[in-house]
Formats: sequence, structure tokens, C-alpha cells
Amino acid sequence: MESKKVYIKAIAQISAQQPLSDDWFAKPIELQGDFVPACNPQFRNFLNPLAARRMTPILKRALVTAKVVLNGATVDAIVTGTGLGCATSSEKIINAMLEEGEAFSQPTHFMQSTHNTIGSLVAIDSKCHAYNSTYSQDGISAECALLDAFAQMRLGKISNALVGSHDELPESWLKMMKRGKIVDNPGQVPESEASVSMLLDSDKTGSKCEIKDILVAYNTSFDALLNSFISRNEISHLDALITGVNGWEKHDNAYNALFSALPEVPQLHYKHIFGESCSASALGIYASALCLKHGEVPVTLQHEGKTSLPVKNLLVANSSGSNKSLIFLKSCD
Amino acid sequence: MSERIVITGAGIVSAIGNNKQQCLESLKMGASGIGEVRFLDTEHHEFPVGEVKMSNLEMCNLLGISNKQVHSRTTLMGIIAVKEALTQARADSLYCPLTLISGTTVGGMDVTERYLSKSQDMTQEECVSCITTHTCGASTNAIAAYFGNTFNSTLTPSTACSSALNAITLGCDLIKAGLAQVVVAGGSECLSLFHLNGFKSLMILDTEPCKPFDNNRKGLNLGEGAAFVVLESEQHAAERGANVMATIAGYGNACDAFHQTASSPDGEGAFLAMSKALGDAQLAANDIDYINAHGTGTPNNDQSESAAIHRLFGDDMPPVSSTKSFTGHTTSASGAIETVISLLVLQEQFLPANLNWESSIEDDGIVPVRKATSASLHNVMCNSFGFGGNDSSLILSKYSE
Amino acid sequence: MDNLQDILKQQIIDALNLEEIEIGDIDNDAPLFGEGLGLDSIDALELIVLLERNYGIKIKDPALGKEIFKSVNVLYDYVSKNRTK
Repeated sequence: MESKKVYIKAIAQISAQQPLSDDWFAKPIELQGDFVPACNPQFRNFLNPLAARRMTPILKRALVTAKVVLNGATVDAIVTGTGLGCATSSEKIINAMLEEGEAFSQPTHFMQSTHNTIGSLVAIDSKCHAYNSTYSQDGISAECALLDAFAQMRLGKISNALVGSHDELPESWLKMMKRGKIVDNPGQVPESEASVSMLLDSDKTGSKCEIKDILVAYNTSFDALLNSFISRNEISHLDALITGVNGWEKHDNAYNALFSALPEVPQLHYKHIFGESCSASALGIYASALCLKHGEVPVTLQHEGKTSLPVKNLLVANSSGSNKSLIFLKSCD
Repeated sequence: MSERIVITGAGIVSAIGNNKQQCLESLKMGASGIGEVRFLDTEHHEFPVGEVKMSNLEMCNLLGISNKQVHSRTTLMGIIAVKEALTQARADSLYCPLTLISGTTVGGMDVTERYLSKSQDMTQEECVSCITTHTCGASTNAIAAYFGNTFNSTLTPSTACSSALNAITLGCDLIKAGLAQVVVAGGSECLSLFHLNGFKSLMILDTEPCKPFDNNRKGLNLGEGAAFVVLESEQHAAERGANVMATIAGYGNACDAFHQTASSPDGEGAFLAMSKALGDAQLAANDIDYINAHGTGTPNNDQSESAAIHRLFGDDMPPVSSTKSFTGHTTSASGAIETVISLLVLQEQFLPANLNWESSIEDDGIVPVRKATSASLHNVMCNSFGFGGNDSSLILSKYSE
Repeated sequence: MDNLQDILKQQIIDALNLEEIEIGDIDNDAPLFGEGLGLDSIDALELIVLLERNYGIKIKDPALGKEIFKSVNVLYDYVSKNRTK
């Protein structure tokens, strides 16, 4: 039995760039400093203020990007990725415990502290009783969420899915990262926040690109992962490799094995545009989908080598601690 | 026709035992593991809990690892349960790398809490250690790390109290879709100040041992633990001569889409999850011989779940019990802990009790199994529901070739 | 702000993030839940925390909350009689 195909039909982002817009493609905002917060849209254009009064920014962003890509459509599954989860709510509980001990824990903060708050809120808002799950795997949470939807679509269990990845960075977490010297190193892009929602569909009409394969890995080098990838995919030519390189040598070294294995393939970067976060890879997928839709790669993404046009297939590579991922995307024509 | 997925190994650590055998004996004897808090450093001794009866140091010693490094209790319990599952499945004879899927929500929060008191003057190393043990993904990776090169991919479902059941169903889907061969799936969650106080703020903790499905139930008791099963296709198991414990007959996941913490009065999400599981298993409601209910003991859950079970099974209701009256509510681990309990029940052909039950809920009540009873079981259903209405249901069947 | 009714209103607005609402918008006798301000069960739990934190009033049974939070005036009476700080 042939597996069903999986397409990205719509995709929207809220990040350090202009929200819900593809303007960065031509004119990206330049990021500076050690942290650039997400640039929020006018939430009241999308959300009822009374309903939104309890929502932390990550919940509002997730709900808005979901609404934009769903555009009223119903889905067979809602799958969410988040590395740190609803970190602002967790931070409030932890700070309250620091100040007041175990005396007064607040129910709203607790209720919104679990990672699945995001996906369940989207379901409540869209009255969607379908499959609903959430993954938290640090910087490859988006890929884990995609893999779940991808598997179910390939099996024909579902024919479309809303997949999102959302992360926010509360102050105390940034402080701890600074003290741990894992941000603001020479050459390193700023930390940021990201909310990306995409609508996957087994129908090709009007799609941005096709997802051909997804691999997630633990404790595996990129050359070994590339071998598993090649063993299950027929690839004659790769137009470009788009990686999560963030400018910090200690982090970027992991990609060297991939660069040596694919010396001829042009390299694209995206984190200098969107910053680093646990959901940054979802922005890499977003940027790739846009390139494939337009058939071109903006200068701002190009790092090494010249991409031949029109760009038709891209390998998205991501590394986060001991986890790695590869996603193979193909244009629809 | 997709391949059948079978279970070839299982491991569990909970308040009623540190392995399958001990848990089985407690279930048969009706011995609950719920009592006064001992290991969690909390001021709230008024709430009974289902703690695993080992300190972190004892777990480290059991596993032969140094206590000098920082370990989350979630990780330590996870390693114990994964180890038991891998040993039973004779995973050392496997030639392929495995996938580890471990559901959790608390993750390494216990470690974060240990650092809290000194957050103002943490060293660089301590900050890195806190960051790299805090997240859910990190706690799964730390379980995988103990087993050297056994695992080559890790995933962490985090759907609150249904996390571990969703880990198992993802494992089945990945195998069926040809995206994984052998999966170790389940979940682990330790008690933390964070969620003990959080549940307290929702006013759904009982100050007495919980009474699932009782008319006078006041709330839940938190528990902790870990459980994992080894999943592979029937063909894969046969080819390597593995001993099959049971078949995963079907599963369903649905969202109640009602409220962020409360369940709908008609139990829509629960009803849909159970219906989907039956459909996936191609079974009729009257094929189910036992339901291991989510049954937390909160007024809201038990009413909602009773309504859903009534809707689906009508008057022909199979025996039901909530074994949370033994283990406490092990939150993100509960779906796997109760899957392994269902597996033991299926293998030993008995119905476990629903302790502390005295009278039926008015209107939609259920009369649960009151003491361990022998029974002929072919198909058992295990329910696992979470905050946000993330509801899942799994059906295990006795294996026949 | 010196009368307890207004203080309670401001505390409710702050605790429940009712950004769009001002003290003057809340009628002393109007229901806080359902039809009135549209508050729900989680808000009731937040108000229980508020009473304990600010007035030293411990409420063990969430059902009692329903009675106390009927309106600002009912809440005012309860707080006046039961406050320990």
C-alpha cells in the first residue's frame, strides 16, 4: 500500500520579525542584543478581550497563528510542539514559591503551566474534538509534533492536521542562560521567541511544499543520520541545506559532519533573522516552505554556495543538545 | 491491513511496588501504597500521596550510578522501569537501535526546585545543570543516556495526565507507518512541590485516601512512578523469537474541548476516545471484559467518566475499577502505569479492586469492582485523561497467534 | 480608595486581569459570576486565594465560594465578619 502524501498548505508565524507577514523575505528587521522578544500583532483584532484576559502571550500568539492558518477549516488532528512550554506561568509559580513558600499557589498559573495548555486552548477555541497531542523535546519539539502528524497522515488515519510549535522566554530563564554562559557568546544570534502554526493536508491544491520525510534522532551524528535518510529516500539532487547554525561555535560544530558529507550543496541559515529558541526550527521550516513556494532563496538566507533556481528540494537540518533532526521538503510542481 | 503491534516487555515502579511482581502482589492483596508524604520535602503533610518507596539515593544505588551528579527523580524512576521492560524483552539480542518515547510534564522540575533556594547565587555550572535537567525532553534523554547506544531517537509527549498513554499510541503509529521498528514507550513523573501546590490550588486534593467513583469522593491523591512497555510488530517479535505478553488491539485519542482543567458533564472527550479505540480495534462494546478507568477521585472527573461509560456501554457495562486507589494519581505516568496494570490483570486473569468505594454516585453512578476477583479476560480497556481534555483510551487483548 | 467595597473591587480586577473593567463598572449588588462579570470556576478559586492572602480567611470547600462571591456586597459582609488581618 502506498503511503499518503503530506503537504504544507498554510503556515504563519509570530517571531522577532513582523508578525503574520512574509515581509522579512525582502526586508528583514536586524536583530541586536542578547534577547529580542517576539513582535506581537494587535491581539484584540483576533481575540475577545474577556476570553483572552487569562492568557499569557504564548497562548495568545499560538491561538492567533492557529486561527490564521485554519481560516475556519476543521482538522483531524491538532499536534503541538513546545520546548519550554508555558514558561511564563511556570516562572510565576516558582517565583511565588521562592517568596511565600508553599502558602498561596494560584490556580490560573498552574492551570496554564502544563505544555498541553496551548493545544487544548486551540481545540477549545475551534471546538475541535479531534486527536490532540503535544511534544516537548527541547529544540526539536516542532519536528516531533510534525512526525506524529506525518505518521498518521501517511497511514491514512487523518487527512489534515494543524501542527504548531510555540516558545516564549521568561526573564528568569534568560537570566539563568546568561549566568550559564549559553547565550550572548561571540558571534551567537540573540535569543528570541517563536510561534509557528501550519496546516498539513494530503491534498496538494494550493500547497506551499510537500513534506517527503522526517527523521528525529538522539545520540546520533549527522553523517549517520544522513545515511539513514539516504537509505529511505531517493535523492538525485539537493538544491540547498538549511541549518540551525546560530553562530556559536560550540553549538554549530555538530553540523560539520553534515557539511563534509554534502560538500557541494549550498548552505542556508535562518537564525540570524529569527533568533534562537526551542521553536526556532519551525521558523526554519517556515522559511523553507516560502522559498519552495517562490522557487527562490532571498539573499538574506544565503550563506555559502549559490543556490540554483528554481529551488525545488531542501534539506532542513537541526541540532539541539543530543537531539537532531532532518526534514526533506520538496516543491509542489 | 496494518500489522498487529504486540507488547514483548514491561516494567513498572509505583507506590505499590518497584517491579511487576511486587505491584501484582499488592493488587491481589488489595494493599494500597498511599500514605503520608516521606520523600518530598513539603509542608503539606495533610495530603496523603502514593510515593515510590525509595529515596533518590536508594534508586542510584540500585542502578549503580553516582549520586554526586544531579538526577531528577523522574529520570531515576524512568530508568528503573525501562530497565525491567528491556530485560524482559531480551532487548540485548536486538540488532536495531530503539526509539524511546517517554511521557512527562513535571520532567526535571524537582531539580529546579532544589536549586530554587539558591537561585540568586548559582554558579555557571549549576545554571547549566539546571537548564539541562529541567525540561521534559531532558528527562527523557537522561533515561536514554543510561542505556548507552540502545536508543537512537527520543520523543516526549506532554499532554498532562494522559502523556504516557499518548506515548504508547505514538509508538504504535510510528511502527505501523514504518518510521520505527522497536519502541519503548511509557512515562515517568515524580512528585514535585510545583504540582502538589498546583493541585492544591485547584482544591481537588483529598485529605484522606481517595475514593474513586464514590458518592462522597472529595478529590485525588497524587502519586508518582514510571512504567514502560516494549512495542514491536507481531512479525518482528516472531522473527526474533520474542515472548508476546499481549496485543495492542486499538486506541483512540480525542479532545473534550470544554475547559482547560474541567471535564464536560457528558464526558464527550472520554466518550469519543473510548469509541475511537473500539473502532480501531474493530470490537463491539460488549467485547470489553474490564475497564481500568481514569477514575481520579475528583467529583468532576468521576462524574464525567461515569457519564461517558454509561453512554458507550449502556446497561451492558463491563467490570470497572480505578487502581488510582492503590497508586495515587501518577499524573503523566498514569497512562503507562495503568497500561502495565491492565497487562498484568490480563495475564493473571483477575479484576483488581477499586478501594475505598462505599456508595454509588447519584444518577450516572458506577458500581466498581470492590475486591480482587478471578475473571476470564480477553480484551481490557485502559482510560487516561488529561487537563485540557486530552483524553485517550487503549485496548489490550490476550495474545493468540 | 477607603471603603472596603472599592478595595475589594480593585483586588478582584487585579487578581483576575479584568483589564477592560474599572471599579465604577461593577455594581455592588450585581452577580459576579455567570451573567454579571462573566466569571467562572477558576476565577472563584483565584478569589479564594485572594481572601486567604489579603484577609487571612481560609475557605476549605470550593462550594462555599459560590455563596460568598454572589456579589460585592455579599463578599463585603463575609470579609468584614471573618477577616483575621
